[in-house]
Amino acid sequence: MRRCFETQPCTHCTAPFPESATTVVDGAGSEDSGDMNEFDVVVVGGGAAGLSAALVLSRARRSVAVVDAGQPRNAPASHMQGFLGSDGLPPTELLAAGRAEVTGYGGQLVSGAVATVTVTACPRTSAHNRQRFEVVLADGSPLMARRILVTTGLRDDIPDIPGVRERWGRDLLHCPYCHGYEVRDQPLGVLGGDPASTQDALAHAHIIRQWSDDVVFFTNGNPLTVAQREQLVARAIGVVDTRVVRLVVEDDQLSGVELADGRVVARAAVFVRPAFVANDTLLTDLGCATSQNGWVAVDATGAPASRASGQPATP
Amino acid sequence: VNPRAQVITAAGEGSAAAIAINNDLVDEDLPIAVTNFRLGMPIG
Repeated sequence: MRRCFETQPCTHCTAPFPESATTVVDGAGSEDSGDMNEFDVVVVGGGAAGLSAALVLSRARRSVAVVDAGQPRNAPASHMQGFLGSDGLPPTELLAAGRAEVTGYGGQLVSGAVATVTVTACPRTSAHNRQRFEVVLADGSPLMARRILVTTGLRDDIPDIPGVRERWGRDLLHCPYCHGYEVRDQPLGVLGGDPASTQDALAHAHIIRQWSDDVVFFTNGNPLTVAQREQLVARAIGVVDTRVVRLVVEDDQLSGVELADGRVVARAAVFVRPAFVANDTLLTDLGCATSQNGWVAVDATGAPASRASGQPATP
Repeated sequence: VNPRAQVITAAGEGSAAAIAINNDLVDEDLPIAVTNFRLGMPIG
């Protein structure tokens, strides 16, 4: 049974069965799709969210393709903590297992980046005129889908301080719930950013204090209010007001934070609260609205709350 | 996007999105099935 796509005749109108009903009743799985480039769902992004979605959809006997560019956000991290049943598992192993599970149910994995997604109309359909998506990869290959799921996540905009990017995910950390236990009771630092993000960085410092009695907050030259300073002192969090110039690394391990006046504050790990930037260009290009916080606005189901057309969704 | 999502959170949200999408596809297919049924086509 062929799918109803712009580039194909609309078999909804001429076929003896509606496509999905036929697929289920005949016991023919999604692998029986008439065209190898046509899918019920194309998932853009093959991380935990995308693969999990593809697994569920494949098990629901939907034809699914997962397009992944191979640039996971947590690539620098050697282990994945706090994942029930898989605590400490390297993230690469989780993805490898996920890919195997998806393909085991007939899902297809496509390596590459998505260049464009456009909405097309199902031709010759008046009673059931639904839109379809054409996903074009960077190499020009097209995929057609009844739905797309964008699971491209976000990227971390980290401070432009020498050493920060190099140590990211190793001993320059973001999430204390992911990495805090591994650096517990050690001398820790928290990097403040620009003035606009100081309050977030302070909140980060108070949370990280849970994992160590020795925490220093680096204001990076940004002023604190009297109340903010009092809160840090009240929780025995040290404050360094001098601007940070670089992270000091010895024997491939972070050893300290160097300040503009030449001092080095010894630290075993430093936390930072990055700015989160959503990888949502595909969604905004499709006309998905963004909310005041800059994220694509979604409803309770995770689908964009408003959109120019189509049914894209992002978890 | 959930900026606080950990890996396990992302996996759960992916699963939830998949269920929502599958339900949406069923909703799309149902009126087609009814239309075909009324036209006397074999049901399935």
